[in-house]
Amino acid sequence: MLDKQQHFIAEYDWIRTSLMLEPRGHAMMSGGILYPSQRDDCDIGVLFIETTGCLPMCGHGIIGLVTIAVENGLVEPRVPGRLDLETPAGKVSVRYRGEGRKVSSVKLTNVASFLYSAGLQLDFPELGGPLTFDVAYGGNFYAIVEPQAHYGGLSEMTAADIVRLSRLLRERINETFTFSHPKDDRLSHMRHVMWTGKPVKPGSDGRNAVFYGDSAIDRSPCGTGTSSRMAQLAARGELAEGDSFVHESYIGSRFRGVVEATTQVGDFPAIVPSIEGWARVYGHNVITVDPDDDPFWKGFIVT
Amino acid sequence: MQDRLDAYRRFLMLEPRGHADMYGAVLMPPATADGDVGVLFLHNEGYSTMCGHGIIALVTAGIEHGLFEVADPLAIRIDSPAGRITARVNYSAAGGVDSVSFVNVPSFVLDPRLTVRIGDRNVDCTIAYGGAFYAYVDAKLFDFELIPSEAADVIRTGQLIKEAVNRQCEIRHPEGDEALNFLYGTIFVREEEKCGHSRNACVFAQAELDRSPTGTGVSGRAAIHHARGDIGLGEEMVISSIIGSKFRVRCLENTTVGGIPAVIPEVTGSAWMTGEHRFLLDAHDPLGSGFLLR
Repeated sequence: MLDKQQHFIAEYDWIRTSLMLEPRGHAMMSGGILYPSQRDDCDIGVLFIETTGCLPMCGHGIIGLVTIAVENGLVEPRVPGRLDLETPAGKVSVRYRGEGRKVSSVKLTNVASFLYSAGLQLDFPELGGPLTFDVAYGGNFYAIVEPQAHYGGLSEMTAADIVRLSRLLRERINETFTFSHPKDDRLSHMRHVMWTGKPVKPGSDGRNAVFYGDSAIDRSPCGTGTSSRMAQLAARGELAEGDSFVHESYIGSRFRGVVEATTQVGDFPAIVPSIEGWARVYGHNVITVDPDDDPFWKGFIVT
Repeated sequence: MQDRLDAYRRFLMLEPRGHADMYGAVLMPPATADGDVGVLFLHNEGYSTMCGHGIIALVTAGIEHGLFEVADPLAIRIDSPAGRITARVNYSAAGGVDSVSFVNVPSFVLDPRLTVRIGDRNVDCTIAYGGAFYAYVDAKLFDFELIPSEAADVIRTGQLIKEAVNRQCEIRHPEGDEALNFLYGTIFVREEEKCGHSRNACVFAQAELDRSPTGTGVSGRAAIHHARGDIGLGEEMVISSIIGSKFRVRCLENTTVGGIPAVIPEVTGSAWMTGEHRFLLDAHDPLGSGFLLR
């Protein structure tokens, strides 16, 4: 799929920009494009698109597109209840539940996730003093900030606070520390900041908000973020193989994570997490793009 | 609608179907005997009484897709919560809608030069009305080019100026409803060589940045330039938005508002269809009724 992604970007990037950017999309929009799979062991291929380009893999994107594809008959799974997807990041196998065509949840197994460093500290005068955080990997590196002396928890943060403070914190963390994935140095960027807090709903084990990109807050509980958080908790002995972890997003939506197995990544003890969530179809849109008449046909962004 | 059907506004304007800067219009039967169509304007927090770029878009979509019948496409009578709006379709050579013009409310200069204190500096602005009150500020004072990458700075500075003006100056419409007596936003202006031709960036409501050149905002500009003697009646100015879209504005006639000299402006702009949507609400979707992050 990486070849397809390169071809798409070279020849058809206007499709991405016209769909993701304003006026049809917005700064937080992301999407998926279905392709026939080139692999014998996959049902379907997929590209992930967002406002700045393509992504190798996207957990909530998988949950959304599997729901749409199955409910609308866009794919005929070889084995009902199971779908093998060819993504730019490699093969991703998912299980889905439901009745008839209706999909009630989608579960995917993520990459091996591990706690990279614990108890890092930085001075952060914006919150009144030093801030302690861990860094974990779950498909992306995350700086995880838990409630402490100068951070009372997510309930004290507005969306604007999260964006403003995360930007500063990310910048300072990357000036002070470096992160290196033991298997592939191309994955060694820390671009995500997770703020945790007490869950709002009964039955949830944790709550979080993830900041990424230039000014985005994940509306979902974040697949790779939840994997990182579970790896952190497993490393502390708070989660064991077979345990589940129900993670709440900033808007109250939930993923159920499970520690499917334990493993090793380089020198780091790691877990293989699964993430289960739901998606709902909220519209069928006929998008029109008129390059002859509309000067903004490729879309625009204001950030 | 506000009392009984607000769920539909939230459903359409908020995420996941809309977003923080989404804007919409609901077409209604006309409220008057000779009206062609009625309209309500929706946004993420509620309803607005009049919206220039909304009029341009709904007339374009309405005429191109036959959403409503009009007696005369050169004088379309629209009943908005702010009152009667008269709009005109300007046809292209091929017979499609090229642009839409509408006649706005009497627009005037309230204070040609108000100096407000922002941090440790004095900032001169002009207060004018074109359907709402705005503070007009020279973008060069803040070295703004008025391009999309400056959005965050433009919004923050615009908010500071708006707060300072609201603190230091009494905003009062001499004839209008008391509900109009507040500063709606800050408009940064970057003049080009040719008089009146310029870029505008309008920060309004709760830190929103207009993607259009702002219908009420360019009407206030027309009043300012007419008062300064820069433009005469019928003389057109072209004003760009932060993304480079353009409105044309001209003064149709002179009038007065509570003794203050005013003009009747006409605003012209274009809209393009981007899609037709069939939105669904799944009975099992706990977030489907709409949410917003602030």
